[in-house]
Amino acid sequence: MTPLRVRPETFGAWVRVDDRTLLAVDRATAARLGVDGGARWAEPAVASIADATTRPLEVHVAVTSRCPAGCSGCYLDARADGEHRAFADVAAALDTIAAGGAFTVAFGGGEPLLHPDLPRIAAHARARGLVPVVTTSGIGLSPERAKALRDFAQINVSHDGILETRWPEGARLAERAIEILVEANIPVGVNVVLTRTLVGAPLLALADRVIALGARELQLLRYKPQGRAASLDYLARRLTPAQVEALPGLVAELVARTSVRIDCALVPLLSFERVEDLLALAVMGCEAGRQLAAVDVHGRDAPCSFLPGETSVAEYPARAPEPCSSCPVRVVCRSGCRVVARHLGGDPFAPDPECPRVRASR
Amino acid sequence: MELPEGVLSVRAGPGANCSSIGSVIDLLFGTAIVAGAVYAAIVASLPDRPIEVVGEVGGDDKQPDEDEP
Repeated sequence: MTPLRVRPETFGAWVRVDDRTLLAVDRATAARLGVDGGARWAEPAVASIADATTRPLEVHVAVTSRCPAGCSGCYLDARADGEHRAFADVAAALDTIAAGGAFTVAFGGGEPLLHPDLPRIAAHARARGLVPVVTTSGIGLSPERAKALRDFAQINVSHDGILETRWPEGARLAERAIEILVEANIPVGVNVVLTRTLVGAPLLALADRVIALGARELQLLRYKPQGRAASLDYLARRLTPAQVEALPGLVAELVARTSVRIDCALVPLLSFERVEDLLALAVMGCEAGRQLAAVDVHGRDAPCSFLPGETSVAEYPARAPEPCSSCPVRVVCRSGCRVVARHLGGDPFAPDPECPRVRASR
Repeated sequence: MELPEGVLSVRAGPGANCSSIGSVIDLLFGTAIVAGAVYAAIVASLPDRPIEVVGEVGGDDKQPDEDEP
């Protein structure tokens, strides 16, 4: 019987039940499972699991900076002549991540499928008790290659429709990749970056298309000004205020079609009201440097993949000014996306300027 | 969202994205009752499972080699 992977916390413990279920349980329930919280349980329990969890649940690991696609919105500025990180270095990083008590490791790049050791990397993550997942554009995927990727709990394929931010062959290759992975019985999600030309009817059409191909989940991502996307074009590609206002309704239409995941940076744009529900479902806003960590292709730690070199973003939300300080969902949202704040205002330590509540306050 | 007794939070899915942390939000849109029953059954089965404690200094962070039989 597969053991439960358990990490004691001041509130009780995080418990990994299976690849798709991570539970936060209270002290009494953790004790019934045989967990001894030791010194952590000698402290008073923190009311909110969001406040109490300050170590990574999930770590993002870049295994390569190589990618020939040349997407104009690439947040990592990946290149066709980029380098792979050596297997031994990735394996050592995974050992450290596992020992720290993370549960999930998400591999990215560049295009991770171009790394010749990717199947071995996934196997190493599994051997360390981590749940490995990966995101791909589909470059380098074949039916034979897919069979070697079955250690991954899920593979997400990037598909933003036919947009100016992606490369010309992107949509065709992404859809072929979905078909190949479904054929190989590997759970497939689809990453969709929300840009001005996509949000609305084109997004619903894209959802219908990938669901028909066998994708089981949509991962919606905010367009973030980092890497090649940190340009003047950002202002033309980001969502309009009217699109942001309509976003909750659009998401509801997508949820009626399939399972939907939102990224941390979308939390402020969806104007959630009930923080209790967000906490119950472990919805996470900017957890950079806390519940989320990243390791770049050179082995350097970062609070998130978009913030190389930043070290102190985790502390910012506690001292964020109004309107964040009195916002009902502050504990989850954590003042929005630092990447957007840095690009638009020159200061990563400022409220997210695209948040509807922040806009309304100005 | 009604969670089983003793459960503070449920994080669904493996989180398959390499750039930003993601959260499944289906249950914010009206399927919470069915999910509550599913999670209650999961929680009821937990005491039958062995545990591996991780993330603690001196904890049982066993690190087998993937090449071992």
